[in-house]
Amino acid sequence: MTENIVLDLFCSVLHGLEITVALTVLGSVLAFICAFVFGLGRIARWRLIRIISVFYIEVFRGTSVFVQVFWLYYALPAFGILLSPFLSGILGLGLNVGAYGAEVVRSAIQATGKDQYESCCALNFTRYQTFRYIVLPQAFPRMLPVFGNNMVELMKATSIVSLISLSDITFQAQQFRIRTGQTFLPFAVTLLVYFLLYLGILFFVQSVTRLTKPKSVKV
Amino acid sequence: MSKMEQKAVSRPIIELSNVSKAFNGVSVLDNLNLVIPKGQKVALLGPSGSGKTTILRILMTLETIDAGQVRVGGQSMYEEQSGVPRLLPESQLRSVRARIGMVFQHFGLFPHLTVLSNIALPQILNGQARKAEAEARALDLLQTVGLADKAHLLPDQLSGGQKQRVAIARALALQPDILLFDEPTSALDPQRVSEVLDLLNVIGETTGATMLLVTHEMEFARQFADRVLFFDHGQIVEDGAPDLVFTNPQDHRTRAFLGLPARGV
Repeated sequence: MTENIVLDLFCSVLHGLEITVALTVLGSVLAFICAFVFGLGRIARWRLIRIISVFYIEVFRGTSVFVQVFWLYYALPAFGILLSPFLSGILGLGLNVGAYGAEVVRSAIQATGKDQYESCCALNFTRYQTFRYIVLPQAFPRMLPVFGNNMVELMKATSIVSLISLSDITFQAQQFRIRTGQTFLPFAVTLLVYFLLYLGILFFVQSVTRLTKPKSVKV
Repeated sequence: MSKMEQKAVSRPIIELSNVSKAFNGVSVLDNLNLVIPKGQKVALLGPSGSGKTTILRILMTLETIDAGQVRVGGQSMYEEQSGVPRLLPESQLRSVRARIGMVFQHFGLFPHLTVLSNIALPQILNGQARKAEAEARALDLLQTVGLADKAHLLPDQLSGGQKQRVAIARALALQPDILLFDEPTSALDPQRVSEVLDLLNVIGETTGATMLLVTHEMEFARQFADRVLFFDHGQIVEDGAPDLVFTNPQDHRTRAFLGLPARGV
């Protein structure tokens, strides 16, 4: 009996993990792209692009991520747009966290010293060269710790997709509780799994940080 | 010598005509005229806020002018648009900027690049050399400034004087006709000043570039420069050979700045 329960729990968690990890990875990729597109858009030369970027950033930061996901899944069909729960989850989480990421990108780029731009001008770099070779390589490492935090937030927020019928870990734990009446075991395991995912993200971000650190070369 | 040849020899490389510039309503340059012939070494002296640095920054296009015209190598940098000078479009400015190199008070090195890459990258991005060639030239220049052994360190691992020598090497790497030095020793510890000044002397003797030096090192300016300009409130109040300006300045403001007694009446 106990063995059956443990096996059942193991299978449930594994199924749920698949969804949670997929949402975290794909959501983070979307968030990363949005962060750069709208973070750069926020400081673009063209007014219209700045306005669109500010609109996106403020709307998605200023409203609940729950409601955003509900909107995508429940409200968009009213306009004839039908999204699968999985796609709604990725879009909702990615767009929400991307809005926070956009501010990270903007502030990291604006933290570049004026002296760096003046040196670039004196060395006759084009605007693109200045950004590509001087500004971005210095700004990107500044973004990483906050990107890491955002990714953790996104991972934890994946649990809300259980409310739009996606069977992530939280959903599986609920189902397990209903099936077996057990409460301690499923939620203890769920907590542990989230924590392990957190450690995984931490390790990933630290590895990337190490890669982007400027290195003096030993001769 | 024919008239044509005479004209070629004396052709100015830098011309500022009736240049005015104000920051927030405060005039920094006031209807300034300045002509600098090719190859001249000019020291710009004067109290802080008198407009010396602004001239360098205008030449480097880091500041724009409010009125007048600036020419480098005969090419105008501004076009009139409804009575106001407008900086030429970026594409046309690049050929002007390519002739000018600048060394800043606070070095402006790229902290994420090694010393070698700081000097090599600008050559590559300006299409002057491929990577291997650019790095070879960078090493040569590091040899010149006495820092070949630091090539693979990051700027933050160097002292102030060493950073400034790298910045000078970086400016030289693009082989500009004009070199601008904006208080290159002001941010250095006193014991580091001489290593940079010695280097300026070497460059002055070897490159033949036109050099404009803003400095507070009076003694150095005197022996380094062919010509000294003394600034006060956005105007050139003294212009001449160093010995003349230092020993017998005509303007009372220069005399006061140099600590000479006022002329007897």
